[in-house]
Amino acid sequence: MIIITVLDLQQVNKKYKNQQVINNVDLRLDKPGIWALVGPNGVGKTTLLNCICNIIPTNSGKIELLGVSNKEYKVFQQISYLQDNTVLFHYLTGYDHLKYVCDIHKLPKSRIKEVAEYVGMESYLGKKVGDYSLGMKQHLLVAVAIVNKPKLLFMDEPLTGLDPSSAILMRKILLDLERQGTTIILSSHNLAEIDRVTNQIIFLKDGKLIEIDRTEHVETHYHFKLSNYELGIKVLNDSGYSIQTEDKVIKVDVKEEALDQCIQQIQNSGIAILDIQKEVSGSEKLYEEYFGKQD
Amino acid sequence: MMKLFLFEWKKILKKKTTWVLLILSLTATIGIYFFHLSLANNVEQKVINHYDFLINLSLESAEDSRLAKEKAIKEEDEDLIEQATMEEEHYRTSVEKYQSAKKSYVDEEWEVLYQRELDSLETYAYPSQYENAVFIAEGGGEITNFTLRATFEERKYMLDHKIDPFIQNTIYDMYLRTAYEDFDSKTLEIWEEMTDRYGKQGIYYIYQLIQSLYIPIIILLGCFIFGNTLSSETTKKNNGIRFHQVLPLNQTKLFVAKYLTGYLGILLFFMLMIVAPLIVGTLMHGFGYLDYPVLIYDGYTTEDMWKNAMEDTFHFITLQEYLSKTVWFALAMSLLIYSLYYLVSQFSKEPIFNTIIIGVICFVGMQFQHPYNPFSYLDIDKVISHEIQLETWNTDITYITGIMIMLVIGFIFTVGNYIRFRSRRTN
Repeated sequence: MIIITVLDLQQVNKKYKNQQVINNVDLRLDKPGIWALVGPNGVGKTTLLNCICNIIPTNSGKIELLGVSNKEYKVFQQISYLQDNTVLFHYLTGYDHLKYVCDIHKLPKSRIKEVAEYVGMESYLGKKVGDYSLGMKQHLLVAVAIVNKPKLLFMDEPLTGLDPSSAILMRKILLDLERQGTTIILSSHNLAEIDRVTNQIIFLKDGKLIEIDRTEHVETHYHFKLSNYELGIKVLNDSGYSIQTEDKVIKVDVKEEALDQCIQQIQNSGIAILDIQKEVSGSEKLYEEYFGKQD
Repeated sequence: MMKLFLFEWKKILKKKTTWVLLILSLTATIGIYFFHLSLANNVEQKVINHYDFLINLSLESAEDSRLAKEKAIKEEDEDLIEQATMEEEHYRTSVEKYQSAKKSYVDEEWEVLYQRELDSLETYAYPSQYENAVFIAEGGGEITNFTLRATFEERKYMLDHKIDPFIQNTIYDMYLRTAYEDFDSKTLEIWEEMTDRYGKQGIYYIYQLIQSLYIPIIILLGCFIFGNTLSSETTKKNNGIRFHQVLPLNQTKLFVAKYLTGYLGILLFFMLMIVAPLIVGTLMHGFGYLDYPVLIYDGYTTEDMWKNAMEDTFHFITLQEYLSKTVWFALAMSLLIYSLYYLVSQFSKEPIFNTIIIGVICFVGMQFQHPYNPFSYLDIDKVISHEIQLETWNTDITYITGIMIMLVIGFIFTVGNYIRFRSRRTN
């Protein structure tokens, strides 16, 4: 079986003055999905992502992305990195940013409109970024990151500082991308948000990575918003799913691998799925195991 | 590459600060022109007033002589009558002479004035005996024979080619200031007042700007406005460089696009800062004369490298030739200053601080004149006119050496910039 290595870190080190931020890190991700890079503030999550994306140099080690060295600039044809909003040019419009990225990726202009509509920023696409709110900037960063339909997407704190509607949109985008086969590595310290998008966690502690797959240890729920709430409850109950309801949202306890079947059953009953969100619980407990209880 | 380049330009053009600084710079340079113009007008008025003063003085003297003559007639004093008649006639002639000179000046009949100057200068510029080849200027200084000869030849050239002069604060000979005078205190003050020139026409004004270190100053100002294509994107508030770094972009091309954008910006700014006052000057008082003679020192005639005002020679080049040399020189200089600014800006992010640093480096560098010191060549006028060779007793400081040195050092700094840029990312 041929395994495509999405990310391969070998003996990676990064030191700032006397502080060893990344300490002989080895990591190999072979399967797609969403991976959360978790650790307290200041532990080096952003540094690690910056090293992986060759924004800052490592002191030693080898990094490969999709089987290609991260020093090869062409690797970014299939990779994106959502950084913080200081990378944006406040005197340019969102359109200017997207046009430039499309030009570099040799994508048609129509992709700008497409992606702007997808992230819900078409109404302010022509405004200067300096006039954007935090959420708007985050939308633009997402648009920039996904415009090239990346196979591997790094996201630095994508869920931080978002208002509820933006957070919902962001989760939807993450799950959409995951379904499309994009591997996402996102850094975050927001465990509740992580629980809603993935159960694959990489802890960063003392410069070392600890890879955890919580699939066997955590509960995965999907929240459905359906066009016919009552019928939806009936269909799911009849199909033997364990469900809970709250504010016209049906919370279904279903494993990842059974999700497609569940969706098909709902759709076969003539019910449209308006929204779908993932929730994984149990991160906090794991976090406390590794980092101790936070006050 | 072109897309990168256009994006860099878009960023520059969409920055408000770029436009604010451009407008301020243009306003300043045009404002300086009008200030210069008002000084020129004042000087012109002073010259006319001086003529009026002399005319009135002569008229009064003539009237006094007439009254003296009337009195002498009553007293039947023949000697006094004859003396007073002669004096009156002399003053009447002076009145006519000054009125005629004033009319020529007001009507800009320069050929008449040039001829009069040539008649007056020839004796001093080319005396039969060297011992007599001095002229006592107002204030008591001696004008060197070199200056007298240069002034004479300049006037002769201007008469032959029908060229309008600069405005000068004198009704007598409009001396050309040269490097040969060595006046001090009060004499120097008078000499400078007499020989300060004011160009009202567009190209004359540009010539004067070049003499005032205008070109290195605007290149530095251009660096301040356009030379931050990299440094402005590597601050804590704006980390835009990282926007590019995660795109499939060749980093060398990114550097070239950023570097060239800044350099092109400076060149365009330079052109604008030259063309704007040129247009304003031309609209106000005409273009001027491209065949205006610019003095070039031929250097020392003595082996001990000492100025010999009697023997040292000179020649003139046209203003057109001077300006074309200046353009090539400015191109080399812009590369030198820009590459140095860019290098400094890769370590320090604050444009004002960087501009001051480069200004200080240039100023200090100018103090240590040496053929291999690129900053020795910042005063373009002194290099083209060879005045710098007289000042430093070094004939190796030449126009060609200057261009070569500035290009070579500019290229080295450019490579340094690239190495620094690459080392940030790949260590």
